[in-house]
Amino acid sequence: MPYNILIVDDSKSMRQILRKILAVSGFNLGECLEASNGEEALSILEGNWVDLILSDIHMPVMDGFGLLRALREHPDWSDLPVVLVTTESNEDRIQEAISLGAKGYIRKPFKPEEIRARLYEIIGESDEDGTTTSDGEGDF
Amino acid sequence: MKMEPRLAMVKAISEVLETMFFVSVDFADCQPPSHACYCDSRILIYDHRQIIDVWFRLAAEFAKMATANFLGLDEEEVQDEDVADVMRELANMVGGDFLGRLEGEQLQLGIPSFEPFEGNMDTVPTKVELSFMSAFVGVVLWETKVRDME
Repeated sequence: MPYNILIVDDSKSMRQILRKILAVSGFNLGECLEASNGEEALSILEGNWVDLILSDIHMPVMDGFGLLRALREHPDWSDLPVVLVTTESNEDRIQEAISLGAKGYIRKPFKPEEIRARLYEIIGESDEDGTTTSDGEGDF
Repeated sequence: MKMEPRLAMVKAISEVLETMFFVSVDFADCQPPSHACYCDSRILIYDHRQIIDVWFRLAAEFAKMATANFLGLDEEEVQDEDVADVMRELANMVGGDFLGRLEGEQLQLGIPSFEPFEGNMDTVPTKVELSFMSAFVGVVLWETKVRDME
């Protein structure tokens, strides 16, 4: 089953990079959607089926925490898995993201294999190429 | 153990440039050319007590090469808006990595910007100079200011 993924980041370049990584990683990718902040992400969710969100934390308008709160309060999206792709290193803020329902986090800068490995972990499928390189960092 | 800020910055720059930009720079003193064009980006790191104002002043040619590497494009394909966006992201990633190495600090990252540096580089107390293949390619400057407590 192909997975629809929503990338939320205020950097167009970072969205491009993540899209490329998803496209070449062998991940069973359906549609890849993009939003530049949490508010845009919520609008996209209104009209599209999304299986997983990759989101930055630091964004204008609505940040990653705002997005997590909005998802948690919505009856249809409260179980939607969110993986944060972020520069955040503050343990308190990471704990806050956990408590708001984030399923994992990948710290920038990252290696493409980390994105691939974390996605396979979240969706519960095996990585057929066996190239998972996660060292556990960023696991909740 | 808390890392000394200059060492933390050097390690952060190396980590980000090598992992995401496929570029390895040196940090030896290098004479900047007098005629160079620069791309400047900035990020603020702050808490209730202090603001660390960090500037990235990269030679335009190096910034374009790094942008091409980051996006997987040929340099000819890189647009000015790509450079601006990627330099903001560079500031964001280096700022975050730097912060992560300053253990025990409860600082937060601001939103990065792409704007010209209009201060006097000689008066900024802390800087790290970057060279690539023995040529000066930029400088990262930062200054810690105590916040006005009202």
